[in-house]
Amino acid sequence: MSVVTVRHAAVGYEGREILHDVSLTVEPGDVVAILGANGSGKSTLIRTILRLVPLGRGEIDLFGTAQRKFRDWARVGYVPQRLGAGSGVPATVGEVVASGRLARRGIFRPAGAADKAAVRDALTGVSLLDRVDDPVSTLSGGQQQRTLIARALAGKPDLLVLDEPTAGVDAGSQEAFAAALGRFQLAGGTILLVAHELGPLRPLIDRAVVVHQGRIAFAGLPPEPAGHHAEPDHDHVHPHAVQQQAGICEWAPTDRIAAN
Amino acid sequence: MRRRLLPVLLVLATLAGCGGRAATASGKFEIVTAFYPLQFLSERIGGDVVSVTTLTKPGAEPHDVELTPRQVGDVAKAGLAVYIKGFQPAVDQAIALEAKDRAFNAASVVPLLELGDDDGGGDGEGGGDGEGGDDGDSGGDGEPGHEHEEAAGGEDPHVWLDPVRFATIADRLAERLGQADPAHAAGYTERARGLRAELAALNTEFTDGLKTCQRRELVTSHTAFAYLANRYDLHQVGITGISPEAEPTPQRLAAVAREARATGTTTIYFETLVSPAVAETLAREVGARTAVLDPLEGLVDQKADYFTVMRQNLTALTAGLGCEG
Amino acid sequence: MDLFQYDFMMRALLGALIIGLAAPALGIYLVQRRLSLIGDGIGHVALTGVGVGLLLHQSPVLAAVVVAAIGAVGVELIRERGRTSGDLALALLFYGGIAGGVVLVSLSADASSNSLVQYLFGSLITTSPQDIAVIAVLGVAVLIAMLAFRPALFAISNDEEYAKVSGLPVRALNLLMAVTTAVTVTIAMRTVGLLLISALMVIPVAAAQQVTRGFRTTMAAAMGIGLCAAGAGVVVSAEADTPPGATTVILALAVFVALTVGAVGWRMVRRRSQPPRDVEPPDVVLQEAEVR
Repeated sequence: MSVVTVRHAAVGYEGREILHDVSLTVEPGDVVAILGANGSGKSTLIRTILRLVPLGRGEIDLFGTAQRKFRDWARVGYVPQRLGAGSGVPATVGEVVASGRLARRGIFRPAGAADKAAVRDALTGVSLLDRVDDPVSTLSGGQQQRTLIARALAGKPDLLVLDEPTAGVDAGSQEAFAAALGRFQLAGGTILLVAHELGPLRPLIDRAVVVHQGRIAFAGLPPEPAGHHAEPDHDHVHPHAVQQQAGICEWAPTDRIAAN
Repeated sequence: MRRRLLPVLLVLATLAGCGGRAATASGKFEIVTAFYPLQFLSERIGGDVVSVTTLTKPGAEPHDVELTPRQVGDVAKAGLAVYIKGFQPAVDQAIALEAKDRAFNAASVVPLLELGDDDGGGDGEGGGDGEGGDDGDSGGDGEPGHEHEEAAGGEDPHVWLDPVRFATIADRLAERLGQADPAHAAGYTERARGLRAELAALNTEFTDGLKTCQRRELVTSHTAFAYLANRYDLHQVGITGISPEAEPTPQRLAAVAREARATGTTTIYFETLVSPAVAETLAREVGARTAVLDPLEGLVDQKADYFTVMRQNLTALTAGLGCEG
Repeated sequence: MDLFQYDFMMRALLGALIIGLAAPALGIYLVQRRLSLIGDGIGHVALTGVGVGLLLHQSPVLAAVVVAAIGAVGVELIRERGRTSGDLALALLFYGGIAGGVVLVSLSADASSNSLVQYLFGSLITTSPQDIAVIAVLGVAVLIAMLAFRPALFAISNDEEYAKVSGLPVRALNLLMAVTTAVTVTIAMRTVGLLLISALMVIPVAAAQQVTRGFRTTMAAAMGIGLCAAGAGVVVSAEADTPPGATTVILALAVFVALTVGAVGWRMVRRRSQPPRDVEPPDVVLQEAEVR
């Protein structure tokens, strides 16, 4: 049974179709990166999988069940790009991570010892346990991202979905959650992430899917960046050419164009 | 043809220029009155030859009536505007602007009581009896919600609740109507005389009915009954003061509760047009019952009139104050 | 003079305490979603409900609850669709609500706009035993709902999308919040009146935030501040002979000012006596340039 199956999905907002005929399968244990330029539709794809955006045409299955019948959302952990907009009132790191346990225990039961232990484990995994009682607003961007990952991991999900986890995050934090994701995958978890550039996450990725103008342009081993892509300050904002296996920006799997 | 037309036109113009003769389509003299008691007087004295309209609609609370443009127009067109100056600010303004020389102020023809002056004793000429009224009382300064407490110079406008003063007003109104509409002056005077006799009879009923009572304290929501209390030797204790909608402060309510307990009051009176919540709260506090005492500021039951309501008030008073006869 | 020997004062105090406790319990979620003024908006809509009640000679308070609930649910559905911006929707509520109330009352035969005054400014002194029973039951219901569902309501107010992905019944809970807002507004109508309702919901939260760090502690502190301000408001108004509702709001503001000033002072003192916290490791480590 695959974790996520997308068949010929089409998604639109306000009359404009963002995704046309997208198909994708994620098997248990996969670590799949969805890449693409701004506006390509990659964020829309995972938001549609997560049911945050309604599906126009096609079908999506989660853990073998049709999406609209799927109820076991505790198996899915979501890490959005940034902390939610509702921050008029202080909330501690511990409280934010604790809301990750709600999917598991439901809204009617109070928090128990198992929940508290899961929160501590999750925070330890991202090296933030010492900040558990601090207000989230006093953390750096990278630490806040780590908090969001801990929140998703606290629910002990089987699938982790991350939306641009490394965007604007310091190198230390990126290392920390590359490590956390690695542990998650070793324990049998499946990861689906949207990224602009892979950075320290690169070694984890099994498969890359490139979305271009609302369609899958490439699916396979993650391409090595070459040419000016390889420079550390490369911003990766230009569109990729529409290619099949032959790859991105005219490189061949075994070739390496000398960096200029 | 033109030779006959001109004199006709001149006559018509002269007639139209005659002051104070406003004719409706039916030819009747138009009177605009501010609220019910004045409407009652005008209808009784005017009889069939006048057309009476009222600015306060039935069932509405008159203290803060707002006039629609059409109503202001009625004031402007009226032959006579009958009002009590200082009771309804909106009406005062409209009359000052539109009908200054065609207005009859009922409060100007009888002696008035100062606010707070309601202790017993005869006629109570306006101004001090030397007793400043009841303790911690009505109309006071610094109480919330008192926009209408002064008739000119702190005087109480509720004159119509004293049948004797009301009769005097009726006489003066008949005179004024006679001046404005001389053709029917005799009828006005005659009808006023009849009204005076009825009011005299009412006065006798009240005097006899309230002569011997176990209690003379009249505890009421707002202090509308000073003239009644003054005429028949009762002692008015108002909870909120002269304006009926204000909620009393805790200290005020407590003070009235103490006085009510001290005097053994069994009945707290409230009026028909406002919420009884204040009276009920006080009644619950002191273990009294509530009863309606209608200040005749508006008529709730359209089949009744001034006399029926005043007699209902008398019944309520004799019951609540423990009077014989 | 001991005013509290009188039953009406005890009822006033009890009503104020219940509302002082329940209003911030709801208000903290409104503040968290940056919807602090929604209490005012619903309050103004409740005025239309009062107008309906007075026009039809039914209980104005019951009519206010019904109309306020409809308004609150309507606001929630509009917000969900994201069509109208928040402050525009609020403007529609505010002005439509008051105007509706005044027009309806003018159509009524035996009420004038002055009848609305007690609803605008509160009428705590004339609370009857039946009124107190209703306030108690509804107040306790609001408290139970806000406390029992706190983890879920926190999750939704903190990050609504995450809550959706977690499978929480987001829409149902949002509608619960809307109805709770309408109920709280209507029972608070008696203490501080519709014009000042948001004050009781929001000011204790704002005050608590000055000194607390997390959500649970803020909620507890806000409820405590609300309770004390409401109780003190009634006591002070009895002594000073001022209206209890407005006095409560002034006291709540005083607490806010005191805590803000106190917190600033405390932070200044601590900064002087403590070393700075560890800073994030920088991405780029600066090295001494070699001097050639």
